[in-house]
Amino acid sequence: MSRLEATQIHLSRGPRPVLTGVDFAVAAGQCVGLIGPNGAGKSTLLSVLAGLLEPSGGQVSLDGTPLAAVPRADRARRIGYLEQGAACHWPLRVDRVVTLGRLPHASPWGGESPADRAAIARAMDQCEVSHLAARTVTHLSGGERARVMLARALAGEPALLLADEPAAGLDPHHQLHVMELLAGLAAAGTGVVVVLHDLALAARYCTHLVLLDEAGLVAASGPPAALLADGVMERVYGVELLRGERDGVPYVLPWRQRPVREQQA
Amino acid sequence: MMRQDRPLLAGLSFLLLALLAASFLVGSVPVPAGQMLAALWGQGDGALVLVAQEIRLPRALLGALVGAGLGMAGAALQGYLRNPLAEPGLIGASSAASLGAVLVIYFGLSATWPLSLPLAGMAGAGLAVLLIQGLAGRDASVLLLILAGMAVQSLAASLTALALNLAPNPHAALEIAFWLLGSLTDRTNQHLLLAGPFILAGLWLLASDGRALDALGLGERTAASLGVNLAGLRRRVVLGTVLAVGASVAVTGAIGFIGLVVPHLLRRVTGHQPSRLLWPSALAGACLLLAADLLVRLLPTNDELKLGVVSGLIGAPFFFHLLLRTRADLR
Repeated sequence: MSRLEATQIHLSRGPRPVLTGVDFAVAAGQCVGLIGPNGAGKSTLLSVLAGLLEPSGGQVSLDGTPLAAVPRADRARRIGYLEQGAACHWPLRVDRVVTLGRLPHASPWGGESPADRAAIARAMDQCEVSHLAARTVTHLSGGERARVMLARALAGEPALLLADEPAAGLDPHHQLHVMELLAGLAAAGTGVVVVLHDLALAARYCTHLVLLDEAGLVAASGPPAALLADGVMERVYGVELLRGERDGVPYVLPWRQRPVREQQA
Repeated sequence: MMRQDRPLLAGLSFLLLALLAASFLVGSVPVPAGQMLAALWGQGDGALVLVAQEIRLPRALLGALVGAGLGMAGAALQGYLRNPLAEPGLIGASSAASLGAVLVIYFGLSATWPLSLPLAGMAGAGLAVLLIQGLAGRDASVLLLILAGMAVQSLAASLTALALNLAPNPHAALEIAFWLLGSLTDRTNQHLLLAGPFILAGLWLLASDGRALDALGLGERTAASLGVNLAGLRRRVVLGTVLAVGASVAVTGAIGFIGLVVPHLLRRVTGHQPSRLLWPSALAGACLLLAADLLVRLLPTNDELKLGVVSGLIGAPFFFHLLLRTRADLR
């Protein structure tokens, strides 16, 4: 059972605080959606959780061990990270890109093990990119590339997956596909943290939501239904949401903007 | 290293052996191959033994080592900086190594103590890297590293020009100018023994960075998430380049463009993957340098052309070609 926990995370960029006393936790089986307006520090928090950014205050722990004390290779095997707008600099073949995700498991003597090959094939199959295997990654469409990069992250078979806007730039079919895939991974025991801009997807597929506001504070956290019920999302985003429910699953639609700053003043 | 690259590596190795043999057998005085080979083992005419063991052999081996060092350093730097136009000269190591050697010639130390030349060259490359580390900081971005390299390079170039400007006599100025052109002529076993271990150490450092360079192609953040130690990788690439390039430049003078041309020629055959480019670039760099050195010996010019001149004449148009191709992407 993997658990990643952040307590009282503070981080500033210059004089501007990006994260202010953020508490966050994700455990195996959860799909936690990280939401909030632009510049709220979602991606920054994700980098801190992945151990890629040192917070100026607070601590991140992986299964009770401070993340900074977890050996680099061990951390890479247990925490998968998908960068926002991930791309490959070189025109590599798609299957070579996905193979790079196995780096944390690579033996010093090189060569692909049967386990490597199985994980790569499974990840490509899950992300529906098997048919692109021999294509050049830089020639793909944005949506195809996003799925290849997700397959790259999945190939490492991490216990915890941190994905920064994996659904951005995808068509509705593949948005639903990616979110169902992430929700399915969580149901199968992976701990998933996903940064999302699409509130409809967040409300529909996440088991928990953490809402950051523009000051880098946690404005609310809990099950999607609870966040939708108390109107905090409408306040933080400055929008009016249309809400509904189908088969016990809540859905939302941003309907019109509300002047967020005047309201606060 | 991947299985599909074995034919390429085997082919390049074969070519390298052939060029090594040719470099050993071809010279200003034609000698039958059989006699030359016998002389290598100390048999036959004393003068011929001397030519084989003290002139031809070190020249061929040094050429191969220097070419391998320049080729692999180019491939590694291009992978590290994620820029196909990157070259060992880019981080200032080559120019600073040149400066070190030029200063030794300027003060006349090289005449009384020949080994001071290579030593000063490597010291120059080492100082350049320390200066770059100081300028760019410990966790510098790639852009900052390039800018610091440019600053160091222009400083070294101006100081080299200053030495030429203030040269005590025309002879010293000519010696500096010729040395700057780069050559394998009259290099001895001493040069080979002094530069060889450093170049080999550099090759080893760079060759072990393949996977990290591959991961870096996905961006620094993703590479770090895959367990790559970015600061460590940077240290290894920079140190490996200094060892391979600094030692090479120090004993042969400035031989440019090998590190630019060779990886570019091989990039397509190796699937554009930085790790798969390293060893082929070393082998092909050795081949290219030996071939260029054969060319300067075979061309019927009055004075032997300098190797750095030939490599520049081959390399500079290549650079233009690369720029024109890259220009579309940069717009």
